[in-house]
This record gives sequence, structure tokens and C-alpha cells, in this order.
Amino acid sequence: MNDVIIQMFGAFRPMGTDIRLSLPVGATVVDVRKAFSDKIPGDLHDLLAVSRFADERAILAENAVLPDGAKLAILPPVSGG
Amino acid sequence: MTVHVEVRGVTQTPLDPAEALAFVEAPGHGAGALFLGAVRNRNQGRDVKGVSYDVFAPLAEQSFREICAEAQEKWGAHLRLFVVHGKGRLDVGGLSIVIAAGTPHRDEAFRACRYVIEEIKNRSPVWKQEHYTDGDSEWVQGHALCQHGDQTHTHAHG
Repeated sequence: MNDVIIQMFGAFRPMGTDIRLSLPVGATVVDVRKAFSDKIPGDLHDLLAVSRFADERAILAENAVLPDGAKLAILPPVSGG
Repeated sequence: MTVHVEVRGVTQTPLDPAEALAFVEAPGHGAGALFLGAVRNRNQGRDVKGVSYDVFAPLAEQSFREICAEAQEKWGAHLRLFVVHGKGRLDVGGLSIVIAAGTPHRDEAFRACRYVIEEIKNRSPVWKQEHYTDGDSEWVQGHALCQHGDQTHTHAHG
């Protein structure tokens, strides 16, 4: 198994600073999304559907395979400026 | 360096427009354009007393660099750009973002400044939580991000 840390931002902040998921080696962002969905309350599921996972350099494709010890962020719709 | 990008804590120290304008000055530049974003006291019918800015800083700075590079492709490598986005809580009137563009002539300076702020609003990982005078707080609904296969770029559906 491979531990993945998801940092929380925006409307996911009430869930804490981050959460840790345990996923099989070779897991993709699709697998992260499913595991993450199981950890959050139902009223955040609609927000998750329009949110993306990213690392520090880029938004990740849903079929991207995660490296060992990946540290990701969940990005809800943005409102900067 | 012709570009400066940064995410900076603003709760203690306000952003400084003079710093931005000084950075984009150059002997061959006859124009400097400045954009300031500030917290306003009303949004969607509610009285606002402040806004907290949440930022995924590494990716936000990466997106600023990409946007500035795109602007230099459009308006030339001589274009100097300064982009600092605030992080933390601000009261009404507080500056959340300062952008400056320096160019030989005014047209590119205005256009580049406008391009950078519009792209940041659509693409950069920044979130606003508004605090209202009635004590309530809400995260502002924003632009959903998308990804077009090239993992070096961020995009948004507006």
C-alpha cells in the first residue's frame, strides 16, 4: 500500500489541514477521488465533482499514476484576484 | 529577471503598489500600468467586513509564471511584470493583489496587465472566504479548474 496525503483548500478547509489515504501501489487520481469521497461528508460530494487534484507543479490528469508518498492538494473552483 | 511573482502574507504587512511600479521601470519603458485588487464592502447583496484568502502557494506561483510567460509571448520579452497575491485575512479596502506591467508604449502595458489579472482569476489556485457583518462566513463560488492533458498548464472553465 501507498500513503497519499491530500492537502485541503477553500471549502474543504473545515475537514482540516490534510488527510491521509492508503491506496494500492499504482493507484491513479481516479482511485484517490473515490477514496477521498469516502472520507468527506455527503454535502461536499457536489463540490468534489467540480474539484481537481494537483501537486505543487500542475493539475493532474484523472488517469495519472501516483508516485510513492505523493503529496497532493484538492482544488475546488477558484476565486482569486 | 523581468518577472517577479510571489504569494505573500498580508495580514501583518500590506502590499505596496510603489514596489510593483519600481520593479517594472526600465530606461526604454515609457509606460507602466498598475492593477490593484481590494476587498469591497458589499458582494451579492451582503455586507462584507473582510475576506480571508487561501492559496496553494507553490502551484499559484507556478501559474503566475506561466501566465507571465504567455504575456511575454504576446507582447514581447521586454515586458516587465510584477505579480504579488496576498494570503491571509484582510479588512475592507485591503489590497489582495498587485500587478504591474512595464513596456515601451502604453497599449501593451494596459493589455498585459488586463491579461494577467483575468487569467489569474480563472486559473490560479486561490480561494476567498467572505466574512459578513452579521457574523456569517462563506467561501465564494468560483471557476472550476480543468486540465487539458498538458500537465504544465492550468486552465479554467469560467
